[in-house]
Amino acid sequence: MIRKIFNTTLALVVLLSASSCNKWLDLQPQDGITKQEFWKTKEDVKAALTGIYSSLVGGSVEERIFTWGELRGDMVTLTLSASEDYKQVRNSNILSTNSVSDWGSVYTVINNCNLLIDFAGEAKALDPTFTDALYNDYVGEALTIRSWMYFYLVRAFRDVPLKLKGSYKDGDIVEIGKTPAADVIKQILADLNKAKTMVPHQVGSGAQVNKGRITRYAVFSLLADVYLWNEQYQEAVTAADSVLVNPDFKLINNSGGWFNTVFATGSSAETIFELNHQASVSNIFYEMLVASKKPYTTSEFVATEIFEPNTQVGAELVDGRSAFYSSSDIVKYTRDNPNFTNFQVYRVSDLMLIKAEALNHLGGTANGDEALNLVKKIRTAREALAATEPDNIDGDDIEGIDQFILAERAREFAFEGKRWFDLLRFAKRDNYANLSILTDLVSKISDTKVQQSAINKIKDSNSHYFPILETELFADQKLVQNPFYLN
Amino acid sequence: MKRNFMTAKGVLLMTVMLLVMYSCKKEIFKLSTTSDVNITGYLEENPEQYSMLLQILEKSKTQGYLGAYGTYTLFAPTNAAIQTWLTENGKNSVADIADEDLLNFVKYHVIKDTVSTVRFADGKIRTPTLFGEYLYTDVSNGLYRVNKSATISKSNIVCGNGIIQSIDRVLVPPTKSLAQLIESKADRYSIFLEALKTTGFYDTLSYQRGDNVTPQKRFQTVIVQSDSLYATMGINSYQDLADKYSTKNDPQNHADSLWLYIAYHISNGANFVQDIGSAQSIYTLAPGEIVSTKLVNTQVLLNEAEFNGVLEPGAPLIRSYSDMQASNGVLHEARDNFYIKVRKQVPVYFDLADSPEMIAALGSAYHNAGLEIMTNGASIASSVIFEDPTKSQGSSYDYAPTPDARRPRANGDMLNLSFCNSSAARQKYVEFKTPYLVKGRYKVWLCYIQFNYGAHLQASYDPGTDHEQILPNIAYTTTDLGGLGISSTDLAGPNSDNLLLAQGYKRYMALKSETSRNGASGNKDANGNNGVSNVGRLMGVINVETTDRHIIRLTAIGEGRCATKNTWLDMLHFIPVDDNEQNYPRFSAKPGEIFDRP
Repeated sequence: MIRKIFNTTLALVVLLSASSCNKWLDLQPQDGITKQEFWKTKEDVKAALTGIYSSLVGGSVEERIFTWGELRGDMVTLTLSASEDYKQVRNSNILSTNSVSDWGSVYTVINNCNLLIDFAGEAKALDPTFTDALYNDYVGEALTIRSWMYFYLVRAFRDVPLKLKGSYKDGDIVEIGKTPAADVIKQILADLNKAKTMVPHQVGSGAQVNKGRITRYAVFSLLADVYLWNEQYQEAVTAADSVLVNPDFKLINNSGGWFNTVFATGSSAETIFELNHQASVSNIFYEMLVASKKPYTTSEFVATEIFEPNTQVGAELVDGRSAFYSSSDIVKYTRDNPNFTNFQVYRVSDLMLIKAEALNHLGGTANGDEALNLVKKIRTAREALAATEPDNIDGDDIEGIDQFILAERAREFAFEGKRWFDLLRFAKRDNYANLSILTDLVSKISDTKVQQSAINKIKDSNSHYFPILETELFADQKLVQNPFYLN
Repeated sequence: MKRNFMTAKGVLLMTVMLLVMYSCKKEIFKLSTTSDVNITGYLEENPEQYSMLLQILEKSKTQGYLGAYGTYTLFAPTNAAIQTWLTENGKNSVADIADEDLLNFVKYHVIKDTVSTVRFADGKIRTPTLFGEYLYTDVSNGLYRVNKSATISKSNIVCGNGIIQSIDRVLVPPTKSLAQLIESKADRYSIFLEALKTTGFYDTLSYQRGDNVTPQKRFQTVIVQSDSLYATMGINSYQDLADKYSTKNDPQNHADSLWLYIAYHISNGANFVQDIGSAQSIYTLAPGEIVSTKLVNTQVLLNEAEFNGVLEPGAPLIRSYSDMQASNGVLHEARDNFYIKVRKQVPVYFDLADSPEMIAALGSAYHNAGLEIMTNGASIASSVIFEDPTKSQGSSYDYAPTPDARRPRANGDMLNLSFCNSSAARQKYVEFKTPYLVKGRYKVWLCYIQFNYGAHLQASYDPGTDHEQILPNIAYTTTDLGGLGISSTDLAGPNSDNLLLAQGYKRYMALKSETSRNGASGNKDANGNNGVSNVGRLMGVINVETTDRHIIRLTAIGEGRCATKNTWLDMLHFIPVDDNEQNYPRFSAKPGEIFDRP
């Protein structure tokens, strides 16, 4: 009898303890795939690379890119459906609880890149068919995408945690604190200069592949953009030239169906790198720009200032690029639902304008003339209006050419998530010589009731960068909040 | 014994089993609904910052109040702030201050509402303090300030019953009334001050806390002008000002222009610069006279207006001398002289599609292409106000590059609206903001383009205000000039304008026989299909009491057939009642052409 009770109880205890905590028997970690299981062949690495691209087109990354690049600018405005957090950003009223500064999805991509960079070597050691060239290509693409993500972070947040090792299990998550922006940029430049020799000019066959994936041209494009941000103008020109030298990249004329070819169809001769949705999943631009509950719509300044109409001669003419808004809806990504329009990252016109901006700051009439020439080539292709052409501008008018380029970028890259970063780059150049660009901006876009507050806040350059989200500060005790948001 | 042993063993096993079961995961249950402390609790947890404030709360017996549940915002001065305040007042400790004064201290630091910094504006916090006066906020060096003195050193500390804003200086209610404040700056405002005294306003602007005043006079706003400004106008003394303005030599007389001039600088209510800039117009103490206001870039301009096509530049407020708080209001300074303008009544021919707001909103579509004017649940222009802009059937701006022979639009454009009295999908009414109308009586003409299923419209003036006026006539926008019982022959005859006028109708588009000021010719026939569709309908007479921009609301009434975008509206004419010329000028589809009486 005793034995029976004893045995029954014992069995019960064993059973319960086993089921209540099944770590006892399972030796595999529950929180990730073991690397030994995964990184074995070149196909595994290819799959990981595909994983990186699908984490880019999943929606949340593009939503961040678009929001960080447009919300604080003057091209979009908010509808009644926009969240309170968005409205506070427009009014320069950002608290560290504002969800706009959630960088989670961007770090997810970075981690995917880190894992590939860390472990592709192990697969190469195991798989004899994994060639050096292929290995270099995959790692180079991951390095470039990681750099691209850090470039967004450094422009949106300035100092950010620089994580260069992958986390594949909970124990890998360490508190690392922030790295100063200058060091992040240094890392980006080092990685890109490495990647530019690793990634080939063609990574596959067909335009969809060679524009939807990182190629050597995409590396140079990003490199030119980073150099420009970092005010290294000669390097920016050289990098841009490495792309522009290829005659396959060319402007498509407005009359030649530019809008449809470049945006609706995608993978056109103009595009250097795009996030491809045609061959994968739908994007989030229908929900963001077209649906009835969309948060974004065209701001009043687009029609009056950016695409200023001709009033005297040729009032019936329109700039080919102004077709991107109609009835104040933003239709650059078409009205399709679901929407498979590709997200343009770098087009040849971007490289031309990056080069023009850098040339202008190298100084000299010859450089200035060349810069103007580049801008005019784009304007001719797009059938830009006389009203947006500045009067009496010549090659040694650095300030005038600067303003012209900034305005032209607004027209050329309308609603492509670049506006705020353009404004910030022009404002911060030469130790914030042009802060008035930003004070003018907030005086236009903020509610009248907080206009003066917004102007006074934007004068503090710390406020040009988002705060670190409160929850991140709890998770990583080493992180230090941007001083603007401490009080 | 054996049995006991067996039981003991059983108990042991059960205990082991229980321990094993619970060893893996411990769950701690929260017993309270929130772990947030209340405001008093937070202060108690941080005595190194707030021990003196706690003493004040204790001594004024408000500790319990801020410890109880509710919604409060406490502006909490730190110990250093309170110490500075005590020193400035020659006191050694909180104990030296009377309980009653401490109670007022606490009342001035508490708002019965949760106000986080995201609700701060450049101006007053919408809810007054428990003391009954407003706090003023702005941003200086990137930090929020209260009453232009205290900086918020730690913001938005969330407590169970509200929010704490930690401040580095004690808030002190303004000591001077408006009258005293102006007097204290007599070196800057001596002429204006003297005028305040002679006109008697000095007394009404004086105030002592506890005085009994009517609620609307509790707070007032004064916009002053400096002596140096008057000097540029050749006014160097009060006497010069009186000579210029005082018409009856009796500044106390409400009909004297000096009294009116000063009254025009004073308004009821505490209006900070931000309030003025967004108000569009403020009612002054001069009867029926308003100051129109406008925010242009960052400047708040007074009385900037376009009148008869001439832009009258406005007087900007000088921000650094504005938003001065007094115990009974706010003081501002204007950079230029502003005064009541005596204007002659003039007719206003208002093309509904050509208001400045609409032109700005249309951008490149203006005089170029059609555009939906109701998008994303809102009107694109603040001058056109829909009953419910979220309704499904839209309205648009229509422009025809080549004028339609039968239904041309004045200046080429019109508004094409979805009106209906009995449909949930279309507007029951739409309001239009008029251009400036000078005080006086006007005949109101609605100029429409007759179309298939247009609505039956009635107009009202400034609806929802105490000077609302409902106009008697109905515009049946399905009716054309041929449907009034006037024969086609008569319509083509020389007396047709009078026949139409007798019925309250007119032509507003120029006939083919007429020539514009620029020599262009009109394109309407006198009768027939191409003659009758552009209709001017007399809606009634309005009495405009204040020179300002006003609202005309058009309401769909009756059971007229109505359909989406079938009500085509072109212009509103406001012609002084005494003006014998109600027919001309006329307009044509060519923008800007004006046709006077031949």
